[in-house]
Amino acid sequence: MGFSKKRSFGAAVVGLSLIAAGCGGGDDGASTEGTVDAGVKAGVDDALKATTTVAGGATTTVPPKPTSMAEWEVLWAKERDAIVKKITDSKPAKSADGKTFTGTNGFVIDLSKCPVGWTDTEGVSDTEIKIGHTTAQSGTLADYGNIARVMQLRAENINKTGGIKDSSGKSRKLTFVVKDDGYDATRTIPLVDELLDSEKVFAIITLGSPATMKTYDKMNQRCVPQPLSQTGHPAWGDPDGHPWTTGLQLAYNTEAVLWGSFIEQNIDKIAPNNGAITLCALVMNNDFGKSYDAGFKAYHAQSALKSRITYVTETIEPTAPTITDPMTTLASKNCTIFIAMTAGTSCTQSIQEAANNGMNEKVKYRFQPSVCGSISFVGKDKVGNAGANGWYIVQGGVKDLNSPAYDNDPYMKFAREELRVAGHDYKSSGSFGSGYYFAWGYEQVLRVASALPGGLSRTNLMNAIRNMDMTHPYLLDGIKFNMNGNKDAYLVEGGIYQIRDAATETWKDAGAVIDLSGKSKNCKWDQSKGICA
Amino acid sequence: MIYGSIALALVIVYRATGMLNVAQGEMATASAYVALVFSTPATPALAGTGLVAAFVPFSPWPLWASVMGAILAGALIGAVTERFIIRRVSGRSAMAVISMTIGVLLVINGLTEYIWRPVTRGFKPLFPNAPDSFVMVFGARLRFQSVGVMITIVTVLVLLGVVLKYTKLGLAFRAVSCNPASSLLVGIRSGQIMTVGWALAGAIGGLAACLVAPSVLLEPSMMVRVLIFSLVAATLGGLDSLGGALVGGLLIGISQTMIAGYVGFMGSELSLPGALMVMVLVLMFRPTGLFGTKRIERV
Repeated sequence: MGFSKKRSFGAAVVGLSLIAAGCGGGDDGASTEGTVDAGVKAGVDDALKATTTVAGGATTTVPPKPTSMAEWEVLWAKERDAIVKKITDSKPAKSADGKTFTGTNGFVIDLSKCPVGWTDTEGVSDTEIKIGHTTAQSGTLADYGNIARVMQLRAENINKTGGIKDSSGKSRKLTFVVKDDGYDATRTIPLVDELLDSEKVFAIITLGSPATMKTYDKMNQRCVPQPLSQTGHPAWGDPDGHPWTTGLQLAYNTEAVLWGSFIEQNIDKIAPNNGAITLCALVMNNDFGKSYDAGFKAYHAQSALKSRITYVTETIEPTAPTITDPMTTLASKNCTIFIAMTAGTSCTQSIQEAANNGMNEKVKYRFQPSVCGSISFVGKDKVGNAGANGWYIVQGGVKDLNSPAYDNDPYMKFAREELRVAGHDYKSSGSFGSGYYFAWGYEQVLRVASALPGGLSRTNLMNAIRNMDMTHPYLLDGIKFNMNGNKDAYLVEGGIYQIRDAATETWKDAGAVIDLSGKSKNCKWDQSKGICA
Repeated sequence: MIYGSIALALVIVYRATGMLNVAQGEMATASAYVALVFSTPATPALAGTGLVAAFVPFSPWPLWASVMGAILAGALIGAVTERFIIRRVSGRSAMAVISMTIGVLLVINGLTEYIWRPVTRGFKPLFPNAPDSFVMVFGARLRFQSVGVMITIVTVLVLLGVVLKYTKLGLAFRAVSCNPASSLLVGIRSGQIMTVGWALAGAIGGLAACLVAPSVLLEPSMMVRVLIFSLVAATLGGLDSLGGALVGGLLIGISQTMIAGYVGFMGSELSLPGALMVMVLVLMFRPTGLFGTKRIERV
């Protein structure tokens, strides 16, 4: 090969490497031992010991759920009115100098550092609310892009039925400006800049822990809402340091506590007479996987059974084509329990590999993370006929759009029909269900914020989110959807242990619903240590 | 074997045409989608299945027949790419060709995403792959699927070796690769040879994609990362050596596993830079790779 050919060849490979790197996710942050949330731990322990469905040992009666969409609409309207009244009664206001917004239940935003030219209503016109969204529509995690499809579908149908009504009588159409970052945080950053500076959106919704982590400082410095981010990283529960960012789903560190509690409850069955176990984890090397890892390490560090549990991990890169090597390594460690702290394609691959390398027979409890519960990852067509049978999951308190158990659920019927009319097969992607989970949240917080005195503004939106208390149709009975100003910064704090039944392609309950509403502490995330400070 | 199989396709194009096709992985992915469409009953969830059900007899086809379809589709994609895109710039410079193949990569990637949506899809394995489909070798599980893939790739390698060494077509391949201008003078239609070379590489890529899709899982970008390591494998083995491609693929795969497992400070993060470093070192100190042909030029 002549020199020029060598040079061109090198250039080609470097170019391709850049393309490959573009398809991957960059990350930072280290995983170290933090402290486990005592409130969450106590709540889970109580729930596991009790036979009731609510943490804390108290038996509650779940009120009957609506049986039609019309009844749901009535209920939601009533709940929105209650939130609006609660917020209005607290008299939220900006200070005379405009430097502080004092909201409800101790929620305060410092506006003094917002950039020059910042306005509370940018991205909102008399007729439109423009919201930016970065998501993965390409790459190995592209299935998550279906969440955006549902968001846009919901927006279209909300707009057809009058849009979002304001307290001043205006009716606005909802527009989502969607940008594909391929689940690569380095691509998210310029896309967020574009949405802020060119599109001038009202708020930006980001998908994934790496993307949200890389942009949440900027969003908070620019005083732009980053509402109901599509990630369960605990860092989104920081109303003091990052008032403009919130999550929606069960936080990964809380999920890690639920794993740990399950193990403690069952360790004597696996290793009687104070025997020892080895817990193996496959950790995705990004903020997402690291937050699970840090959460479990924190749990492990404080566990009374620490000496009986050896924690072993192998890491994988988000863009790795296969995970055979780390799974083979784990198979050699005589694991008693296996937890996949991964997302996307590697969820499916971990099930395949465990079936192939003998872990299915040898490992008593095998867990998938909550983000891998959808049929897109664990369906028989992906993992083979033995499927994910017998795998466990801590379902983040959500229903399964694909499950026949919800065939008569009015909201599920509504969602399936809306998808069908739009030409989508609801069974083809589990992310469609996630789309309804998030889209319902966006719709409701916008409706509440719009109904507040002064109408829709960025500060009203954040105040509305931080005081939500509604019945989410996609959550399991008993799981609350609420925040409480600065005191409780997580909307959803519950879940349920489930086990996969491959025959029916569904997750079956393996315990009671555990609701930990208000029990998890807020989290000021220390990026250098990878823990909640 | 995953890296080796795609490296083999890269080497075929290089041997036949002296060019490097960085769109090889995407062409292979598109072919695997063709196999999936042919083997799947009509469903709105997978584009093309309705058309196949309406116009293709006996559909859905069994997997082996669908893979044959993928091989043909790969050949067609390769031939069309060469005839209508690459040939137009092949006379300019190697960089122009490579730039064009990067463009083809992006176009095919975009098209597969548009047509089949960016979702991960299962792909049935060609060989038995049930949990108990393995034999124990020194305490380790050797899976029938891995053995089947290995035998298939080695068979393809042997067949290619025979074609290139003992047939007129193979001789023409080598002649065109060595000196296109002189080949024309002795009556070899170098254009046709180049088209056949690309078609052959496309066919092998299609087969390779069908072999690896059950473990990598089929999605539009499944080959992007694989291709990087395959390029390194081809460089390591020698860009004009078929056997070298396979050996290079095995060496890269095994060293990736061993280094991550036994060299503590090198985590999974360094797998890509590590592979690129191998390629740079090979290009610096042994540009012909382990088994490549040394060129001797008269001065």
